[in-house]
Order: sequence, then structure tokens, then C-alpha cells
Amino acid sequence: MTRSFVSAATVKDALSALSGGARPVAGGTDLVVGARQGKAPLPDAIVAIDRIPGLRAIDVSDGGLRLGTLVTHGDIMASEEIRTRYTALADASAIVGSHATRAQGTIGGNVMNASPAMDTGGPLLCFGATATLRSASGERSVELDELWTGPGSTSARSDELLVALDVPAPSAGTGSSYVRLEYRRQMEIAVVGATAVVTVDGDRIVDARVAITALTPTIRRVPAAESALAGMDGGEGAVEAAAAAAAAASTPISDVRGSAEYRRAMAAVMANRAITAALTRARGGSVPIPASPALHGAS
Amino acid sequence: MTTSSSPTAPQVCWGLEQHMDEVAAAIGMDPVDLRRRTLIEEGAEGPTRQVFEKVGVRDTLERAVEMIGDGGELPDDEAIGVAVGWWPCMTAPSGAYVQMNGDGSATIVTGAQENGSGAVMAMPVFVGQELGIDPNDVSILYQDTDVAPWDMGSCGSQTTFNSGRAILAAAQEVRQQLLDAAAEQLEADRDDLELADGVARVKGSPDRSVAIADLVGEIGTVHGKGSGEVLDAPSGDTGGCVGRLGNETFLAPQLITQAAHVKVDRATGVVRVLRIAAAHDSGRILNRAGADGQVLGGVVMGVGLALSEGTMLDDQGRQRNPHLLDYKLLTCSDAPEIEVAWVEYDSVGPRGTKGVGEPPQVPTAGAIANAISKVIGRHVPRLPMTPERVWEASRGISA
Repeated sequence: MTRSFVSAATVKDALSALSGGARPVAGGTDLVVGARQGKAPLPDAIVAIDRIPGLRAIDVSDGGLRLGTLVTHGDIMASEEIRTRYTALADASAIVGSHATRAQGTIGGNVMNASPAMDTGGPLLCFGATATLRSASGERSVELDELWTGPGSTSARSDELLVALDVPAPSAGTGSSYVRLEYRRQMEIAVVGATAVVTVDGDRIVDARVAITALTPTIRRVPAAESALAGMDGGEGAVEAAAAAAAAASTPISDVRGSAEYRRAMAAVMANRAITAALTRARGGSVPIPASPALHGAS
Repeated sequence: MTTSSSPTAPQVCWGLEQHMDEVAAAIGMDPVDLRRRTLIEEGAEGPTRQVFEKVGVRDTLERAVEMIGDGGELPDDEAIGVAVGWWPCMTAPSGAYVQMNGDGSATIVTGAQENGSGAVMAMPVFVGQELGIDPNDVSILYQDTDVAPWDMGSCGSQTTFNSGRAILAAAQEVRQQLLDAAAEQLEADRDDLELADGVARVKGSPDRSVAIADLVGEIGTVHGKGSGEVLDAPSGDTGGCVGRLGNETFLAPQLITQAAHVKVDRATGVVRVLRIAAAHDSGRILNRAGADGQVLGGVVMGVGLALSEGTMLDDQGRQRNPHLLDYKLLTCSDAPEIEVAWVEYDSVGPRGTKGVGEPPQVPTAGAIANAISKVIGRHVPRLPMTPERVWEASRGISA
């Protein structure tokens, strides 16, 4: 049971509370739901960071994109810059949970919750995002694949607060997509997800990044899938080879949401659809945002 | 697997109606044509030798097929399936009081209750019709079993069928008292009187009338009680294989055909139900909006039962999906377009009615199952027909 709850007015206040052992809360969509489901009890001491000014900005520059930790999924899906240049991230934020979750849930909370099923993780990883962690003693920047160490665990120290995510600007000719298996049209959680970020020069794929979601203990890129695409013209054979590599890299579990065998098979299907949609977008074609519902039923 | 109403019927109908499609395929007949040849009609003899009265089941088949279209132009990942089902009208004792108030309004006292389904909607209409007053002037005092006579309550698709009968009987007692008083006051023969528009009047001479409120003031206490005659189910020959199952004959059966238009993502097994055409014989419909609402809700529950709602237990009997993240109800976004038609024939129920509440989800899963098997070439062997099970079936893996 929580014994102390403070609302921080500044980052400094928040950091001092963290040093004293408090855990941070922003939107509360994971912390509270998790406690109610018995996943983990609410922390003894909580510091609310949701009212700290300046942490909810989306800053775009030539160098890339900076997302303040309090930016919500609703903010992301509404950002024209993100929809145009970081489309896979908009795909992901647009299908997180429900309308209420998207209005309340923050990107910082999503990243630090470190769920292998988080929708925005694959796009952030493929775009090469880094997390800026601040503590009373300073600030450091961490790659996401070093931040996520397991389901629900990160390499951040307990006195560190994620203040921003920095995403480098994609090269010209880049298209991206995040696709998730959806049993129903709303209120879903990823059972299998795949992200593709591809850069084309004419017919040729000059760079490809592919990540799989809910298929490994942490969201991870699949180098074999990326090399199956790089240098190719993005024809069916290359896409299928990359999709097969994504399935081969999967180590799914069997649970109430699906068997390991089904998940592995769906890894190939989702990767195939994500890559195809990313290529379509890279080449100037149109795929609606979010891509997932639009691609359902495509055979 | 779960059920929220019409317990066991959707599951049995799901199996039986897929079997009908398999039989049709085995003899090379269109599944709708097979049903045209096998569904009961007036004068037909059932398996327990019950001879059927006029019922609308064949009409429901034709209406549902007409509404959904023949599917001739559909893409190869879409198909239409049809299923026919039924649900009994359960006959049961019931009682009600009706009393007149000094202002000419009436109050019904019943043990039935409104639980959100519109189950008591018919009651003020019955009383209004019987007493010649506006149904809006009829209030219901319900759900207080200390006050009301015994009633089953609003359950089992029988509230109108049984409580309605009791209320009509009670209202008829009140009607006799009002007519007796009016005959005296208007100095007219009782048989020449009618109750309409809030007055008692001589038929054909509307100027010779007295307000019902004034009659009530005159008499003082006007009330009626009723139960009505509890109907017996028709007798049948119980010697055969269906003889002792509890419903060996049909009393005012509620009959349904639904046709489902679905789209199957073959690569994932994800099924989307695009449209449902629902044609029902629930006897005479008293309140179209209320009855339609029952079908819309029932169909959506039926789609959930068909595709996603399943209780999973571990080997100790504990539920493995005890929350709404993994027990998947349909969302509004998943609800199909639903078209409703009513086939109306008189039944033995009050004012020709039957029940409405439970039948709408009886054939939904069966219709969806038959459509899925048309796309993937195989039947899905278990409910709910989740994406993984559809995917397994389409690859010939048995669950």
C-alpha cells in the first residue's frame, strides 16, 4: 500500500524524491492497472511527474525528433511531423489500448514499463531512438536495446528519470510501418507485432531495419531479416526471406493469447505485412495510419 | 465457452447447423435449398407426432436470405452462411393486479421487473388497449415480491408470454367493472358500450360518454387481479428418441434464421463479421424498437460467443483469463451491420405474442461457422472460433 504520494513541480523535485526511494508515475495506465491485476503492488512512495512543465514537448529539428517523457500516444498520433517522417511510431501510438489509454498514457511510461508487447518499442528501436536518463548526479544517454534488459526490467537506476527520447532524422526515401495481429478492432494488446523501417534509392533498398514485438523477452531487431532486404529490390522473394528470418528469430511463449507455434507463424505474416507497407510508403504510396486495421483481411 | 442467454441453444445450433451444411454438401444440394425442404410448415408432423400450427420458420429463411443477398459476387475470402434455430416459449403461472387511480390512470402491480431488456414494455400497452386509456397513463409497480403476486420474474424470454397473460386477465376484470358502472350512468346496454380515449361511450354515439376518471370517482375502488389460464404444451409421443428431453413438443416456438456475411484473413485466421441478416418469428410484435433492440444486442453477443468469448481454465479449475483484456468481448468497432425483419403470425400467447429476448443469439454462431467453412474449406471444431483455431483448421490441423 502506498504510504506517501507527492506531486513534483520540477524535474529537480522529482529527482530528489526518486533518490529518497519513490517511484515515478505519469499517466498511471500501467502502474495502477498492474497493481489491480496483482502483477506488482503499488510502490510505498510515489512521485507524480505529470505536472512538471516542459516535459510534454515534441521538438523537431534537422537533427531529428525529441519526445518529452510526458508526450502521450494521442500527441504522437496527432503530430503531422511524426505521421510523415516516423510513420511506424504513429501506427503504434494510434493502436495502443483504448482512447482513454492513448489520452493518458505517456511515451516515457511506455518505454520504462519495458513490456515486450509494447507497441511503440519496435518503431523507436528501428528509428534508433536513445533514452535520456537524468539523476541528481547528471544525465546519460542509453540505446534502447541496452535499456531493456528483460520483461518489465531496465538498466536504469532507481534514482534515474527518463526525461526524453531522441530519435535521429531518417534519410530521404525512408518509409516505415508497425503492424500487429489484432483479434478485435479496439482494446487490443500485441500478441505478435512487427516493425519495418526501409530506405530506398530508386528500386533498391539501401537500408532496412526490422524488429519483432511480443516474440522475445525484449523487443529486438532481427539482423538476418534486415540483411535479407538490404541491397535488394524489395521483391516478393526478399520480403518473404526477411519475414522467415523474423519468425526464426522469435522465441515466443504459449499462453492464453496464443500458442508458440501460432505466434511464430504469425511473426512471418506480420513482418511480411510491415515490410510491404513500409516499402509502399517509402515509394510514395499510401497506407492509412494506423496500418494494422487497414491491413487486416489482406490475404 | 460462455453463454449469456438462451443457455445451450447457440452451442447445439452451431453443431447442428454445420451438420446440415455438411449433409447438403454430401448430397450436392445448396444448403439453403436443403433447409427449404426440411423446415417445418403448417400441418407437418414433428418427431413426436406433434402436428404443427402456422409458424413462420420458412418465411424467416426466405427473408434472411433475401436481406443478405446471394453472395455471388463476393471476393474469395468472403462468404455467406445461414443457420436456423428455435427457442421455446416456456409456460408458467403468473399473477398481476391492476388498479384504477382517481385521475383515470392505472397502476400495474407485478413481480416481473425491468432489467434493461424492455421485458415489461408490453404491459402498459396491454392495459391501455383493454381500458381505452393512454399507455403513458399506466404505471408499473414492480420488483417488490412482498407486494406483488407470485411471478417467475423477467427471465426465460417469457415475461410477455406469461406476465402479459396475467395482466390482460387483471385488466379485463377492471374493464368489466368500468363497463358495469358506465351502463348504469349512461343508461345504456352494457354490450353497446366501448372504452376509448379515456372515456366510456355508446358505440356510434360519442356524445353519450362519461370520463373514466369520473367513473372511478363514482365507484371508489376499481381493481382487478388475474393469472390467466396456464397453457399446456401440445401432447406428443414420448416413446421416440427425442421423447424425454424436456421439450418434446413446441408451444409457440420462437423461430429464427440468420445469415452471416464474413471475411476471413486466411493468413492469420482473423474473422470479421461484416453483416448479419436476422429474420425472426416471435409472433406479433408490440414494440418494434424494443424488439429490434433485443435482436441487435443478442446478435452482438452471438458474434462474441462465436469468435472471441471463451473461459479458459487451468487444471485446478482456476480461470486463466479472469479479466476483460483476455476475455474478449466485442467492441462497438467489431459489431457487424445488422438488418432485422419480423415475420408475424398469431400465436397462442397474449395478443398473439411469443418471446423475443433469447432467440437472437441462438443461430448467430452457426451462421458464422457455415460462412467460415465456405472460405477455408473446413469446419472449425471448437467454440469460440478464435483466429488460432481458424488458422489451424484452414491448415488441416485438428485442435
